[in-house]
Amino acid sequence: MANKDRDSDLALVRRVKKGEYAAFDLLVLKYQSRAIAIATKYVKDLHLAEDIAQESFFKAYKSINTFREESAFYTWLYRITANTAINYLSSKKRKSELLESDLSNREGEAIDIFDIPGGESPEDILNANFLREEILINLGKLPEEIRTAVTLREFEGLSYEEIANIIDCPLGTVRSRIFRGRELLQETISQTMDIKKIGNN
Amino acid sequence: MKEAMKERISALADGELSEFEVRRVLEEIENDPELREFWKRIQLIKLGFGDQPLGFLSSDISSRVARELGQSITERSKESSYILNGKLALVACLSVVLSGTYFYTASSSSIQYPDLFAQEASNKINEAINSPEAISLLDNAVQGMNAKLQSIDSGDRGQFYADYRIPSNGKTFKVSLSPLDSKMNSNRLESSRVSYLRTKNGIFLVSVSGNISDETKNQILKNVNLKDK
Repeated sequence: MANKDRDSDLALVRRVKKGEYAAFDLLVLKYQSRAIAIATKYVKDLHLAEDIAQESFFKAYKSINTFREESAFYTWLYRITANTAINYLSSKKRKSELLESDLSNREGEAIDIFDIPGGESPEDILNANFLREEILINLGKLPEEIRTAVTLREFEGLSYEEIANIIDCPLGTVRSRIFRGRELLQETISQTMDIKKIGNN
Repeated sequence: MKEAMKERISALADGELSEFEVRRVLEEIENDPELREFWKRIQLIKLGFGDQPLGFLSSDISSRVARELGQSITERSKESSYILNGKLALVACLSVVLSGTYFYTASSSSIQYPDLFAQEASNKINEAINSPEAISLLDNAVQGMNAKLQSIDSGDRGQFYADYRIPSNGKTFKVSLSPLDSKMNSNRLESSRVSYLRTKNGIFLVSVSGNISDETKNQILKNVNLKDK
């Protein structure tokens, strides 16, 4: 699955290199939540983490031509985000040290922004658990031929061609079934989580 | 026409499009916010299938990034934009309510520190689901099934797991609970595989997994459902 994910990213990266911002926008949509999560490994404030993620995407876009496609785009973005966060912390530390030397001449005292365990907030973890639970429940409700195609794709990481060989049907049918499965999952999940419904209730 | 384009977007997400098709899809997405939203949702669903952290689902910085780069993106109107994110954000808010009024009424600056928030909210959630009342209700849920409680695990993610075994046939199953606000309750009751557990500390989403029949799972969920009590 990772390879296919990488293929998908590289197809977009190549379009970005040709100046198509729409391709970069899709990469931002795909990776923004994870980029913010990376940033929160270094800074506590969510808004600050968003700023760092934003700056990281900015840097990624500006230096996209230096991405040699030897690694996955996400790996490259991860490094950029981590470095951006570290640079921010270094800059904060320098400011803090200057201030502290002015006030009390203390040295080497770590500021509290360092070594903070990162990751999602509990609400995001709950959302993720909730979402995963919903996906699994609703996957089980899909028609068998659709469920099989989606399962082979998402859990086994098989290509469309491999899936077509296994279930003995045209490649276009595989593509169509996977799409239909995702659409159905989206619909049911959206229904479950419908704000209007909640509001009315 | 749009369905065909969405199918291509789905294939793009799997790296299964030719370069020519990618170009076509990008042209369409650029001018159609619905297709852009579709891409976003597909990514969410694909992430949901995996076991990697999903990150901050309720944050969207894409328009900020575009603005900073001097680009414009066609977004859906605020009302309908990022519905799923909005929904997730709402669930997040509800989760906060569930985690206890103590934290909810804490200073707003706390919200800006997810790690502190995590610790505080997790403590509250764990307090709630580890209550004797919750255990008792779980036992009621499997009453009449000769199921034996094997282990309990609450973890630090605000979830609660109880493992059961049916000695007569050796089958095992897990009942899991996740905090959920009462406002979600009536909305979610339509599902036959998910139910709710109400304790004095709030309402929890309950699901059953394991190698037992769907009928048995549904029976357990039915037993757990205390909405009308």
